[in-house]
Amino acid sequence: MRDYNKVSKFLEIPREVISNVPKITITGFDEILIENFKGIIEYEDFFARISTAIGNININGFNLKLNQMTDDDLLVSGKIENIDFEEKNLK
Amino acid sequence: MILKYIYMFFVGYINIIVEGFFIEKFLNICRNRKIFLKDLHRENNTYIKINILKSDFREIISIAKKTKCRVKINKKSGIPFIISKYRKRKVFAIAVLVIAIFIFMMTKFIWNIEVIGNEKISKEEIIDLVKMQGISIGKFKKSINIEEVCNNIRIERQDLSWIGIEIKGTNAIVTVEERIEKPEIIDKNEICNIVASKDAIISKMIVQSGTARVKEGDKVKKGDLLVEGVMEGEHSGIRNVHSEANIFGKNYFEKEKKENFVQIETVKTGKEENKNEICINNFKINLNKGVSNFKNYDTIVSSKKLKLFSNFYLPIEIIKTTNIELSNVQKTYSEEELKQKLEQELEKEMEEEFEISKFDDKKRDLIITKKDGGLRVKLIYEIQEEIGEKKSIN
Repeated sequence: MRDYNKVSKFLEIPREVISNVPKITITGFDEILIENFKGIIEYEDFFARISTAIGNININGFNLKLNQMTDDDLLVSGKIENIDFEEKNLK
Repeated sequence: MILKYIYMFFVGYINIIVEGFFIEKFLNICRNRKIFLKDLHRENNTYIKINILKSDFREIISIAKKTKCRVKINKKSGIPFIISKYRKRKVFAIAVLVIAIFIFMMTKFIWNIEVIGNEKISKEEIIDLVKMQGISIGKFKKSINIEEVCNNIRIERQDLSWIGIEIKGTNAIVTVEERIEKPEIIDKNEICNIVASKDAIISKMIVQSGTARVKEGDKVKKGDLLVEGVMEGEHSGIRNVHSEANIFGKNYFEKEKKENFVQIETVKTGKEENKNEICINNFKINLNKGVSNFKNYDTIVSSKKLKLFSNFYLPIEIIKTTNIELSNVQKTYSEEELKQKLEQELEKEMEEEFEISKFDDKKRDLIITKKDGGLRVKLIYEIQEEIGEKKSIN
């Protein structure tokens, strides 16, 4: 949040580009694309926990697959039941 | 998405099974080292299936060692693996290369000569003509100077008004334009005679100037004098003139045919047998041996040149011989049927022989005589046409 200053606001630069805030795109009920993620904490067939700079993302569902994993984005697909966020306490 | 798979296929990818307790740790290290992972699927608590690129495999193993995971290769796919599979078959690769070079070399020669536009001059003659100038089957393409060949032929042959040669693939197309002989035109003021252009019986004469030397009903031969360019006047005496006359001659064409009512005809039984021959530059290989099984048969021979694509002829020819079985059947015609049949046949034959349909002024006559168990049909055409031809005296 602190990197998102007035200059970048004026230039309309997307937040996820200049800071390490994740961008989460959900397509339908079966695909989630997480950009700017930090790592995978847990990954099971029915549960995935992904850490980002501002907290964790929990995904519950069935047949979860990590379709593609590169150093900054992750595509999770499968039958997704719910998503919740655990916010980290930022100073 | 599909592009990524195509890229992976070209680079080569491996499906591995990673087994262990610290799979998340393994994945995070992979992410930190910027290793490309695709289609991660955890089927079980203890193992995960991952697609990785071939080039990352070594690094994956070192990471697995660090995280105490075991790596098993499930499947290898992609072009590099296909190539390495056939690495030992060197002869095959060399053969493919040799064939490719061979085909490439073959395109440098001429394997077929096509002739377009000839009517009076036969195809063989033109091919011979071209051959004399250096274009023949099996000739190297670059050694041919088309312009020079064309010029030489144009100088040599007076009956060709134009010749063009085009090389397309392995095919040399010779386009020919034949010269039409122009009729001799005689000036109105020049003194001339009229002679017969063909044998005929004179049927009609209209003489405008000159003196007729023949009468109606006379038989004339080709080249005979018909009208002389001379006028006799009581006062002026003899003087030479430009003769002008329309002279028509008659000609008879006839043909006769005799056939019985009861005839033995040959009919196709429908059975066929094919025999193939391969001909490589006049060297023949017989594929089917032996004589035909049929007693009575017709033979049709057709040949076909092999070609790749549309213009790339190979020096290989396939000669196909088809034998068609025939059997004799007795057939009885009625009088009317036989008459029609013979008439049609005669008509056709005469058309081929004398080109009857070319003439405008014609009379047709059909004589039918019945004779012991058969018919005799005679077809007569009487044709009238102009036979006069001007010829200069000098």
